[in-house]
Amino acid sequence: MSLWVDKYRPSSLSKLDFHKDQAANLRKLVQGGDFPHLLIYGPSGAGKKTRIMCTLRELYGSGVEKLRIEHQSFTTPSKKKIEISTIASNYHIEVNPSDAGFYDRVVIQELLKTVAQTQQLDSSAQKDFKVVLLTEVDRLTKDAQHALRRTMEKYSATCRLILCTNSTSKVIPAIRSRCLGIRVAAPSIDEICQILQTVCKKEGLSLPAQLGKRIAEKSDRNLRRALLMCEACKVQQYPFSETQEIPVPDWEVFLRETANAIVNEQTPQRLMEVRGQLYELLTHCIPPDVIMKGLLKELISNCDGQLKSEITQVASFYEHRLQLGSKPIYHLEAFVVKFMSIYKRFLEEGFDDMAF
Amino acid sequence: MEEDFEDRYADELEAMREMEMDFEASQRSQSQNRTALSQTGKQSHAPLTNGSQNLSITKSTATTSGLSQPKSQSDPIAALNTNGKSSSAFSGLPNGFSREPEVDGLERKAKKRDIEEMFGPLSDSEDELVIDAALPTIAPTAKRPRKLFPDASKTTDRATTSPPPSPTPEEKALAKIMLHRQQSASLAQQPAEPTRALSANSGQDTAWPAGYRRLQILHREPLGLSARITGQDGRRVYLRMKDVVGVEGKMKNKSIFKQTPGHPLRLLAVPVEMMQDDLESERHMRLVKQAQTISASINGGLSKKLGTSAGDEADDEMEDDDDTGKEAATKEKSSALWVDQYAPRRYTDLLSDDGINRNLLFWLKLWDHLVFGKEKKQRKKPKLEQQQKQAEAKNLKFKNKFQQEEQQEELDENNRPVHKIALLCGPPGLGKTTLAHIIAGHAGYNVVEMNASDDRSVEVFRNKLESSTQMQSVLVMDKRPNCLVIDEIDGAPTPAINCLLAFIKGASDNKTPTEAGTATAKKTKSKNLLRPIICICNDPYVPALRLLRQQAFVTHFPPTLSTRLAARLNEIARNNALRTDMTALMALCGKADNDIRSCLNTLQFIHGQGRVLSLALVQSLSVGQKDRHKGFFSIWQDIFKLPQPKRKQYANPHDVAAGKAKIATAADGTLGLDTSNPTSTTARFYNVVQLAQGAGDYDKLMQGIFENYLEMKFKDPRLEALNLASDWLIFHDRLGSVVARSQNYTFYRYLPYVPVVFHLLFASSSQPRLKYPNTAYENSVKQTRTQNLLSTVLSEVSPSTACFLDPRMAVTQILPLLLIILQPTFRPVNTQLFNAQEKRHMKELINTMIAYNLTYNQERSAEGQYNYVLDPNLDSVVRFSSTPPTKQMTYAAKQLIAREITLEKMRRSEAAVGGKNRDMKKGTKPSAPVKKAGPAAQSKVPRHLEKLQPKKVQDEPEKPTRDFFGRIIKKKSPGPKLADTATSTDGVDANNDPGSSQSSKAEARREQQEQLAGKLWYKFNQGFTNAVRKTVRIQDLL
Repeated sequence: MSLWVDKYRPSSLSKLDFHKDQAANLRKLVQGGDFPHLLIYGPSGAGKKTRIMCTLRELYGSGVEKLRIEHQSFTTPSKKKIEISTIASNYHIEVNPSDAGFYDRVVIQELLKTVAQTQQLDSSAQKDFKVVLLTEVDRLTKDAQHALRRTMEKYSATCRLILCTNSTSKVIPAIRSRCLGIRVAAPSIDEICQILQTVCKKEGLSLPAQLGKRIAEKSDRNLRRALLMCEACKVQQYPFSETQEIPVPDWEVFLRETANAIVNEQTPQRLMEVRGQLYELLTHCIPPDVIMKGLLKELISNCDGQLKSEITQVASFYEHRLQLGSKPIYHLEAFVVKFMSIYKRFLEEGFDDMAF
Repeated sequence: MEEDFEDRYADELEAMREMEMDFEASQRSQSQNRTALSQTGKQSHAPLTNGSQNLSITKSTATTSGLSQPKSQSDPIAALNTNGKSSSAFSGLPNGFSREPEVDGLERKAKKRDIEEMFGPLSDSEDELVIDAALPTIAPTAKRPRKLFPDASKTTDRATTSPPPSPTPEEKALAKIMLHRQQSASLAQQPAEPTRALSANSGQDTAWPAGYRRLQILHREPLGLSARITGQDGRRVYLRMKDVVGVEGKMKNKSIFKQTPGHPLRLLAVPVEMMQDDLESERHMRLVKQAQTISASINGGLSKKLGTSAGDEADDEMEDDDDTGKEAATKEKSSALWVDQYAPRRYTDLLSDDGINRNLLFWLKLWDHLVFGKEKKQRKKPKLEQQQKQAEAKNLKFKNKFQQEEQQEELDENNRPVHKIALLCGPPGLGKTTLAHIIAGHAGYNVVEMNASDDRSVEVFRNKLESSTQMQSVLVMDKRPNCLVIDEIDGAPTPAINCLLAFIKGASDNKTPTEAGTATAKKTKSKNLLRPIICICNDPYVPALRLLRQQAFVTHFPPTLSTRLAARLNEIARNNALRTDMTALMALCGKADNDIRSCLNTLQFIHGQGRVLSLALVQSLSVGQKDRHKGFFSIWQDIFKLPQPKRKQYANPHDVAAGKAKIATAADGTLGLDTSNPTSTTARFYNVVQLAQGAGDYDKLMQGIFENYLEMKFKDPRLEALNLASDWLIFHDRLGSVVARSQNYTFYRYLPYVPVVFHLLFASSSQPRLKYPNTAYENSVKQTRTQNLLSTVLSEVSPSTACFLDPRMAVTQILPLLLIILQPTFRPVNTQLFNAQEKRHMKELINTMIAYNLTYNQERSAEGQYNYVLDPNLDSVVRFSSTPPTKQMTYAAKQLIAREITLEKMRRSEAAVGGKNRDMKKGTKPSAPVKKAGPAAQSKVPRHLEKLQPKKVQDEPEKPTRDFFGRIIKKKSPGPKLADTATSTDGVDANNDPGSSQSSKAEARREQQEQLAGKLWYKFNQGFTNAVRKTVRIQDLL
């Protein structure tokens, strides 16, 4: 509990630092007594989970903070056993069904049934429903999502669902319509700066405003990232200087190098090298869609304006294919090859123009 | 007799008759009279002109049958006109009618009916018809029939009384006798004319003696009805079969010829010739019927029979029916497979490599000493050595070692060869099984075979093994010792093979060097192996055979020589009159990869179809072509290499049938070369598809392609080929994942086309350098390792942290920075000397590390240096190959941290245990405090309130202690004890041991007297107690 991220995480709705009106709405929602299913979405590091936990605390009191990790096992129809670890309190259970891969449907069905079929014992003192918190709903298979929608209605007397996801685009409309969607937007740069300052003050450190701003900008409006970076900065060099280097995750550096390699040369040999680098990223468990996104970001920054849209389109095409397939390296490489050929054509045309 | 004949033929000819009936019905309506007249006219006309013409008429009518009848009818009409009325006017109308040989019974009956209507009742007997038939040729006078008629009608009377369709033999015989007598009488009466006719006939007879006497054997199947005859030597010939009617007609003629030579002496009631005739025709009938049923079953329709050509050979068939019989008998045999029929029977017949044969035989002979008690022949040795050397020259290197070894220590202490088992391995169709059988037979063994068709469970296997190697049949006369041949051992279950191994080994291990006789006295399970065992397998590298391979005398079969095989095939083809040539056979051998069985089966198949084996046929044939199962490397090689123009290539017969080949030819602009020319795109396409299909494991195939295609030499300035290729890879991946997800394997069929794209895009003429595709595997291994590491980290993280963590986020955002955060700089001094801020930092660091369940472990590096390593080692997750090594904390710092972490963990666990104990006590409390607090608050109070109650009681003693040992560890104080006494006061419930309770009581009493004496007394059972259980804590020892 001593990373700043964890240490200074607000634990109640009233203590939240930004989106305060939203927090007020949430409190009203809890106090209103008619608590709906929630679909909370927003970019990473915007405070979705924090808000969820605050809401739960608002619902049940501090008992929610007594968490325990439970390992549950489910048996698929094909007699395969799946182990899933859940984090639960007496009042809620949190599960990441995408851990189960293809069999998430089984997990969803079984888990929800067991949770929802038991009533709260003492409904006078507590709310008469429990909460099932599903994270990374966007990575649920369609099957699982369809399995979810009937259960949501059937067991609404005893159980509420809070779904947490980055984007609603991969959540089927049937589920979206059954939930109250709450978007948690990323904090603005100023807000991040503000938070960094408060945290540093609490820690007894003095953060130069300039550095705070740089960190906030580098964090892609991801508060978690900003705080971690800030702490890493502090570990690397304290007292802070305004121009000190802000550490970034190694894989991002590596990805940038890969992108540079692609831009510098477009040959099969280079492709082979790039493939090795992509493999390395994959073996470090960097999710392929993150790699694709990162590559696109780096590549686009390297090329001319008119190419940007074309390359983005290509990237989205291959990203979609990536979701459908099962061997990410093929798709990543296909994107790289496509970029290479587009870029090469562009360069050649440029040379031709210069020749004239 | 002919009636009988007809009857037997009736089935076969029914269809024909029906046709003729139809025709006849139409004919009858318009010219009843004319038919009769014309028939007579024809009959009277024909013999007069010429004997040969007579034959020719019968011939033509036989061939043309029903439909040609109008023509033959019209002729006689003309003849009737020219010939005048003398012949037509005579009263023997039925004679003329009956003379017509080509018309069958039904028709005759129909006609007869007509005639009966006109001329009164006629004879129904067939015999009579014969008689009548003969007469006009000899004496076409008006007088003769009248004389004959009464006789005939006599027989008729008798015949009609008996069942009409088949007159009894007596009747037939009688009729014949009468016929003879009449004939001879007529001959006697009119010598002039008959002799002339006779001379004409005999002249004809002598003119073609060969044609009649010799059976015309055809090597090719003739058009129409024929009998197939296979000789003892395997040659096959054909006999043309006559149409029934034609035969009938000939027979009539024949009987006349036979009669004519001399005057019958009438010594016998039945003339010898007649009896011979009878016998002959009976036998003939039998044979012909046999042949006919067979040929009918083969040829199917009767339509061919209608087209049967002339009956020239009818006589021949009759005369040579002895041969026919023999051949028909051998024909039964020909249904056997050639593979069995021409399997080698002797050692010298073997087609396999001589060296191999000799080696195996030599090995088997090594057993002689033990099995047959023969002494080793010393003089043989050099000779064998010579042979060995020859074999060595041919064989592979590793095998040489084998033989050398064997040469040195041929027999072990039990006079058995060192290798107790021979293992023959090689692809199917090389003659391994045959070799084993023949060699065993050659060496004087009785072969006991065990193969995949037998049950090979361990129990059965052992039984069979023991029964075949240790026992001998007493019932069979064959007293030869057994030699066990275990065929297809690569398919046997591993336990069975282990059983076999144990059988061999157990024997050799348990056995002290004694005679075999004492071995039987030992336990039954570990008997000595006293008989040779030959194992046969296709793939010696099956995991189950690994141990066996080390024990056995392994012989790898080289492929049979094409020339040798082709020569043998040629021989067999010649034996079976299959037309072929060596080139075609060589092509066949090449196509079947010198698989003897496949070649022979193909040959027989072609022979069965009656085709000629030509080169073109072989090339277009799909038979004999096995699934080409190649190694992945050769497939990749073929994909990335342009085919050599001269390489042999076989077209896919289905495509040829579908006309695809033609399209290809049109596209190529070359004729007939599309399939034989491997460089054409079509051929390359099919070749690669076939290769891919043969490989089966498309994923691995594609993996190999994926990892190698960038290394190929190709020109692709705009990277279009690469784009295309990667799109196809995606296609492959998508299909693969669809198949995997939905288990819908219909999409599998599209996968083999992906390699084709790569072939067409990247194939080059140079030899490709290929790598085995292991990067994907290596990477997946690495990835799972990282994943496991991550999951261990995440699963150990404390729940309050874990609820804000998920693996994706952890790996992309938290862990990389965490690793930096975890490396603050500390002064390398004792923690006691840290100032307050440093202490706080240290505490934070420790807290963080514990929250993420990280620690430093001492490890010894390869150089012998000790180092502290983060555990779990997040470095491998976070660090990349290109990132510069960051500064590491010093050894001392790490050591310090590690120590602090362990201490802190201990403290926490202690606290947790204490807390738990308290919790537990609180839970169990109710019995005690309830009595103090009174039952008032018991029932209504909610549970969590109930828990709070004892806390109040304990708060007072506990509070100072809590503060106290939270900070200072070292100091031993009564504090903890106090806490203990306070918290575990109700532990007495469980404390029943008087001794321990005594001592602890004393101690507790002393302490309580010191501080809080008498403050806490619990009512227990009947009295009050302040007894406590003393717990010794780890922190007291720290």
